[in-house]
Amino acid sequence: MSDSSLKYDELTLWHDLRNGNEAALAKLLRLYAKSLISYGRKMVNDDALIEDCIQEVFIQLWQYHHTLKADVGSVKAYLFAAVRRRIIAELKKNELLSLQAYSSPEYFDVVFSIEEKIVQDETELQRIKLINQHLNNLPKRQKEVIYLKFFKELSNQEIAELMGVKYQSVSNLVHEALSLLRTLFPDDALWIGSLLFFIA
Amino acid sequence: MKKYSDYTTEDFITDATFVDWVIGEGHKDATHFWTRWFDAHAEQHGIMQQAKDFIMASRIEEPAVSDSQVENLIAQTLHRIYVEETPIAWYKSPFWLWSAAASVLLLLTFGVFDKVKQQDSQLSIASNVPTLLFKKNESEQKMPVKLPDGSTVLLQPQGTIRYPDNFSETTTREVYLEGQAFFEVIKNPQKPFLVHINNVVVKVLGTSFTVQANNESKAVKVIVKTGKVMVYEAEQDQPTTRAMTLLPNQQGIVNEQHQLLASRVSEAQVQALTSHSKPVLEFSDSPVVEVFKTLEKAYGITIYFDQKLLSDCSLTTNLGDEPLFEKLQIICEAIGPNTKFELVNEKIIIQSLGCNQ
Repeated sequence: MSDSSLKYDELTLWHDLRNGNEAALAKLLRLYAKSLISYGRKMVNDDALIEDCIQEVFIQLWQYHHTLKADVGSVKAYLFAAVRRRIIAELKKNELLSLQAYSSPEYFDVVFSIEEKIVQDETELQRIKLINQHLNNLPKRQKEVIYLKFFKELSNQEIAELMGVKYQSVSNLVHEALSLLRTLFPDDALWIGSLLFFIA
Repeated sequence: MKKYSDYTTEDFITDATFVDWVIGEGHKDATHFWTRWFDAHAEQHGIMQQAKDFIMASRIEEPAVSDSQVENLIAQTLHRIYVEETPIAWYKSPFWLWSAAASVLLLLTFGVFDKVKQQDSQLSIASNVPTLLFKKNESEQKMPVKLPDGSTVLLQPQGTIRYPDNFSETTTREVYLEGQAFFEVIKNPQKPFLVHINNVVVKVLGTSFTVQANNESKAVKVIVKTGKVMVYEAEQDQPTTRAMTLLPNQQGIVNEQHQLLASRVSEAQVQALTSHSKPVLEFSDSPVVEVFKTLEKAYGITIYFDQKLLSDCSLTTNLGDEPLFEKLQIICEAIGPNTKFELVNEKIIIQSLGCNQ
């Protein structure tokens, strides 16, 4: 995995950006644009608004590049957090205008679906349906943790920074979401025989 | 990196190769790494199955974000930065005097093309009249400009260049420069390339050189890197009464007293004023990232590309004295069919899906 090299890259780019290198800004944007847009789409179904928010974040980064901290920690988490804040601020503004406040302050939502093409048999399908239901019934906040962890490859620490919660609560949320898996399938599997179909 | 034997359910779910194995049906392939791993590690079957179930139960269906959407976003962001940094109060700008001068020159050059237009309209009705394009470099870096014939111009800060959007209907390729620029001209003996600067004309057939006008005095300086150029003063009635021919590593100056002075310059000086590009750049199985970095250094420009995406790509090629844009074309073609370069807001951007895609 190129995880460590990516980390190195983003920190180099961050450093260059702080020194006023415009090319570094463009490279950072290219590195994370797709991730940020697809994340934004989980909060609002409006690409123009999302792109506007991403632009604002990067323009501000450029305008205040000399005041950026050297020890940013994770650039990725920083960018995700900044875009998330900006989108939520925009949505709140629009709500005030339309006087149509949602009951829930959570904006993030995602629907998990089942990859049916590769389901082997009825038992597996039942199991996967159960897990899928469980995931879709999780509170939105927990879904967001799952999404960031497994689909945006953010670490628990990064998610904690991004969502403004404690590290421990992130790992608890992840653990909880995976707990059903453990009850359905204990680690010391007695069902190895049933796996033959899986590799057949 | 964590060892696979220490993997937890979470690790499997976040490992892209494992996800591919599950979703991409790699598990039906007996020779696949994860299939073999699975067969050899019964103790991990439990968590591997948990991870597989989780992956199958948590797909997210969403349209992909296209490359062009990303490039657009980058171009727009850079454009907004550029616009917001440009002073709005023109009278406070030190360049307003200069702008006034530029507009006079613009009028003059329009006059030239009016003539071309009239001549052409007598020949063909469906005329492809060139529109004059205008570029000014307000940035601090060299601005790459691609001319319609593929020739390359690297315009220095505060320089301007005017050029037609096509050369197809004219017998010459003529551009108008203020300030300083480095040219790499595509060879075409049938269509001489002419740079107009102040009252001086630089005529070439295919070569690379730098032209520089001094703002205070009216002197014009030309430094030749490759090929052969001719420099003369454009006097209204008798064009080429006096001309000088310059060869590589020579510099020509046309001073205020209308004197033409030629002299030799050291290679180091030529490189500093033109480009550091060597006559032959050899790449043998070199990482593409390194190739781009070499070009960046040689030309003193920035090439925007996805370092991560191209990190595994390498290529073998020789680059000679072709213009920068031709070099980029050659490199992009070597990387693969889904790689191309674009000029977005005067920035060179490599668009790619990776090599061999």
